[in-house]
Amino acid sequence: MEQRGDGFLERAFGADPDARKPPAPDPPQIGPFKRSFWKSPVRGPWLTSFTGSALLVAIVVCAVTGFLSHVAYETTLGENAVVLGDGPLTFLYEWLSWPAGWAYLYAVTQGMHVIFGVAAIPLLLLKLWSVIPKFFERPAVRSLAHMLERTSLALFIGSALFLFVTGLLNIQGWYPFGFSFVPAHYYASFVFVGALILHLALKLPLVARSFREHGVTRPLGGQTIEEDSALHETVATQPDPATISRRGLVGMVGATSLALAVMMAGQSIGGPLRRIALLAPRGQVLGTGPNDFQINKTAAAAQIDVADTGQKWALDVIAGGEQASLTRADLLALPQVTERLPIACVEGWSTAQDWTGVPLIELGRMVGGDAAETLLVQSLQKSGSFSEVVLNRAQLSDERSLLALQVNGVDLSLDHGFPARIIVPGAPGVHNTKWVNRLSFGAV
Amino acid sequence: MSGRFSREYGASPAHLVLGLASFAIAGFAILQLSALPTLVNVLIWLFGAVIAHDFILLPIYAGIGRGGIAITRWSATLYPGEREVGSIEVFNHIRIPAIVSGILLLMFFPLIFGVAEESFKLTTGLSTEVYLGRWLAIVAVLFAGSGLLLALRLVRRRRDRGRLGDHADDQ
Repeated sequence: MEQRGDGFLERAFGADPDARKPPAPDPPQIGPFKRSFWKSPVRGPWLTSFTGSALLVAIVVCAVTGFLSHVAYETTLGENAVVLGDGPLTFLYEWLSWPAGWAYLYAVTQGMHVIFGVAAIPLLLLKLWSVIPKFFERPAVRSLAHMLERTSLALFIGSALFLFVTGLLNIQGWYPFGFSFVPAHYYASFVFVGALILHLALKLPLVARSFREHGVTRPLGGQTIEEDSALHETVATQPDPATISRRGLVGMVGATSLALAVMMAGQSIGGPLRRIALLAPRGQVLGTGPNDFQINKTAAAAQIDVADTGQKWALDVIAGGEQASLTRADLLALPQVTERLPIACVEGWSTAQDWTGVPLIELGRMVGGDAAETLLVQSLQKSGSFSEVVLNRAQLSDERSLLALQVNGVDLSLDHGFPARIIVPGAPGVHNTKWVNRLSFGAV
Repeated sequence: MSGRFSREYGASPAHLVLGLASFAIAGFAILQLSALPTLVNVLIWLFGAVIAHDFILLPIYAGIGRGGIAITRWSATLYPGEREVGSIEVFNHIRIPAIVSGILLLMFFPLIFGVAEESFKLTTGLSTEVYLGRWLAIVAVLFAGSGLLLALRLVRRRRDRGRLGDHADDQ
């Protein structure tokens, strides 16, 4: 049905009009299988191309930042991977190392992941609405090649919806799906990207032709365009009169996406902007006290026994055969450093605070572990992931990486990790372990 | 390009190679996930999402939209003298805020309805109870803004009509 042109992609991947049709039965021409069932006059290649192109930008940002997040988790160190290893890709993640250089690196990459991901959802809904007649196209199977394309589309749309739904539920803290979020979201993105490459190879010529014919944005200027129903199944053969223009429809969806992006940016940038993050999961302000900032996981959730954090608490610092045990008073007697660093959560929110404590590298020096490649951090935490984390060389050796004892000039609250917590520039939030009781330099 | 392969398969060998490569990536991902005891749930959600969208969500919202248009057109026949009754323009000033409100509800219903209140409280130390009010406030602002815009449009049109006589309607 789609006309052939002579661009590179069309020559390489275009359908053969003389192809043999496999002996598959066709659905009867009733209901949605009848082309005249589809009435909307705004459906057509231009709307799909425009929405798809905007969606593509958002998806590329999500894919790149999602991959970077996996790198940031340093999954090849210790138990950092939490659920599944990286299989044959282990070499890649062993080779890539997350830097400690720019303190806001993860806050920015992961903030973008969630901002673009959330903002993409209205675009995805419009995109799927615009192509729904294709789902019911006849003949259902035109050729073996067509059958392969349609099977790939099932994986494409399934994985797209899967990624957005699981991501959206994850940031809202609801897990009704009965599988572990991180590996499922990560590997579903492979299914998605694989199908996306085929989809782009097949559809870019159609996008190019539509933009050539109608302009990329001309219909947004309010100009009406005529699309040929013989050219594509999404164009109605017997359209109803228009009830909304292409400009109105794209404007509504685009404005919704923009508003969502602003809301999510509010919880990512934080400060006074958190107040505009109305529906964002971290769009609430806790208060004005020095410890009133977003909590990643409360002491109750981590099952911290308050008795363990009192007088009997001591920090064990270990390197090779050397070992030191430091009370909180011992730690406070060491030279203190104050750094403004963010907690940047994988869920896309961040909060920067002024932390005071002892540089990790100074603690390493005390036991001769300052040349170590890794630092295993262990916590009093009894439940949940990340009760132990391994930091890489860049993180443990950075002068700004602290074992923080205080925040904004006062002692840490229990929910923020009292008696002591890690704060590392540029790392994912959960790698800033709270309620730390043991540091092992070079243990992994 | 109508060689024998192309006629039998329906496209060039490059198409088949790219298609198989794309399935190989999906196969690799599913193979990696098969280490999880819950792989079947992943697959249910993956394919269930297509069914839930294409056969439940889309027909419901498209049906509501068509129903709204049908009611609008029908109401136009009741008061043939009144141009604003049964006008699609007026309908759109209801439809657009309704769609935007609906998208926000669809995306954030776990927070809005406090579905995961207990775990949210345990994780963040905060309650989800503010979200219903916030969503309702957004809905109210959207409808009020849309209504105000419509009122301004109608007032301006009446004024123009008064100035130009009935010719304005012919344009």
